[in-house]
Amino acid sequence: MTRAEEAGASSHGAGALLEVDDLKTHFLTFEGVARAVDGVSFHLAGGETLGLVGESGCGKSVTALTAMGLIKTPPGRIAGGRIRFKGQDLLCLSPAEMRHIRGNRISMIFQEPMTSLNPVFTVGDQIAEMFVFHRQAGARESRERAVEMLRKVQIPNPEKRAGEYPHQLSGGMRQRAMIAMALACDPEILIADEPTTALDVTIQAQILELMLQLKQDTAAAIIMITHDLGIIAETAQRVVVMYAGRVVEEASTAALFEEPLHPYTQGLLRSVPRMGHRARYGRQRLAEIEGMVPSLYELPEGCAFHPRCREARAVCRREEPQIRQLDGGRRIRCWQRGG
Amino acid sequence: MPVGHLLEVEGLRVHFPVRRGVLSRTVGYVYAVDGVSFHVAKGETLGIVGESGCGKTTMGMAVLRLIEPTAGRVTFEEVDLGRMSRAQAHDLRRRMQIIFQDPYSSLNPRMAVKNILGDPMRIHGLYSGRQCAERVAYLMEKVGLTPEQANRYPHQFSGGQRQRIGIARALALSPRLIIGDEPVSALDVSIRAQIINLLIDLQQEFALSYIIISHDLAIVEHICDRIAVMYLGKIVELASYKELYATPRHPYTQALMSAVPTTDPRTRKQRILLPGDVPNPIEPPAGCRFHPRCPQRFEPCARSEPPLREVALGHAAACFRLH
Repeated sequence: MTRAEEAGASSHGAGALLEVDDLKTHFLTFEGVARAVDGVSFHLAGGETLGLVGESGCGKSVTALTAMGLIKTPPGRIAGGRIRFKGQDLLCLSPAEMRHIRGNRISMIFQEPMTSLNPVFTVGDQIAEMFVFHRQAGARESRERAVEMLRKVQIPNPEKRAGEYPHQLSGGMRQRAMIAMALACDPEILIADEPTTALDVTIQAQILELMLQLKQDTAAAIIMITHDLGIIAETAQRVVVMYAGRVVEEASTAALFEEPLHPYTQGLLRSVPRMGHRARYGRQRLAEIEGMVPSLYELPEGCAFHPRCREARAVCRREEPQIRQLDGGRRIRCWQRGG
Repeated sequence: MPVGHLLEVEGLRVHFPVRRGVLSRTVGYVYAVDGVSFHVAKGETLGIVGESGCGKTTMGMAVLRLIEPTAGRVTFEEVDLGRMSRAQAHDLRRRMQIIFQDPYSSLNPRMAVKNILGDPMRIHGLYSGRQCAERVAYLMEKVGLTPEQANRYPHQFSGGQRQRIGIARALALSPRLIIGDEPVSALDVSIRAQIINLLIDLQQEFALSYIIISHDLAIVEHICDRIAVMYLGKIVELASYKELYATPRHPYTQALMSAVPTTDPRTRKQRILLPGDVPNPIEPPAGCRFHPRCPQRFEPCARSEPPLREVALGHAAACFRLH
């Protein structure tokens, strides 16, 4: 066992619902191998909301898509690791077996509800299909239950809306319909990939409120994927921070926002203006993280963050730090911390 | 016009005809911007916030005359833009510039950066030859790039670097006013701070005035001196950043601010959830446009439209509850 595996394994809480263990998802393209996810480990406990945070290209969505069995191969290739759902390795399942888990016991909502709903079927039919496929329900019963789901996500006039096509719904309504579809079969895990990024602020507030309400009713565990630290702070109990295909830090939400440890997390938190701050404390210059996110084709030697890190030393440039377990369920991947 | 105002906008309206059928008959109008007035002082930054469809981008385009306004008056450096000659219009382009949201689609992929920056200088007859090359190098450095990168093409740069090129292009002709239309929304979180700091530094160095159009309330507060909140083609509140964020008065502004997720537990407050969606600007609601979603509406709101009126010193709002 490598040290990474040890640290990953030891962080798994007892009775974890989902365990991602040293996952590696690579893409073979003309430009080379993009190591989108490269040794990612974390766990999800029953009933909790786990935040997965990072910038574009950090591998947060690819991790989720791998768990859902939605990586197209080729160009994708799952180069290693395990994803255990209640002890069963999802990566070993046949496509047929996976189909019975996807949308049924683990389901996902996407960022852009316009492109993830089928434009040629009515919203009601698309939700009803969940019951037809996973519950072998009859057409009429499925239809009734679809309307019931639309009512549950607080779409006004659900009987009428069920007969409408996605383009007839507003962005907020479409995302509600997506949530209705995802929750139709009472999944044990809901993966929400930037569920409100495409929405306006006031609509985002509605959708987040709805998700929190439904979570209390259904007891599903949620993986909340986002780049918005505010959404993480308001929804998640625990946070995994990703950078360049790796987990760089994990902590409880309270601990992460109170005392971020990794230089990347610290930089990220300091670089975002906070509402109400200037009005109260005057304008402080935003802290910058220099440079840019590295290309997945040419990751830097050593720690992937070192070219942008103010604290980088010789060892950071030479050798990649392993993720280490700290007190209080925290984990960190940094030579300068937690030693 | 009061002294010191660089830009004065009065009663600006932009209505887009909705055409249907084989004869393309006009069956209605989209009231994208519907009677907006404000000014921008020299060296000032005005923020325009609002959700999608509120008309903030159209408003910016109409100020620059990239869209012809339906009605209203825009006065820039004491020249009425509606009555100017072609020559004046050409000259005006030099002094008002824009930075677009998407750094991928707003740079011509077939032009090297030296031409993206240099062509406007040559067209306006400001610099040529060696001088032009020197100015390009100077601008590249000002926005945090290296002069050697001027021979490259847009695809060879990252998103943040492209936005820097967009900013350099806006600066090329030494403008007085730059309109930034969601200048950092398309960028990664760690890159946003770089661009925001750059915009603030350049403003101080070149005594620029900005209009920053954005949906992000925290960013607007950080950059802007005064802020206008738009809803369905109208300004509903206009105040200094200090006033607006300390005491938002309009029910829409209050709801908007309460909806922003915050990482700071100390500023967390009761969330005001607005029911429903933003109405269609083709048929805006009668009376106050916000009344169907307003938690504080009362009987006059559906009947007539509240004007934007001063409710405290330097703080205007359009709401009957406040008048």
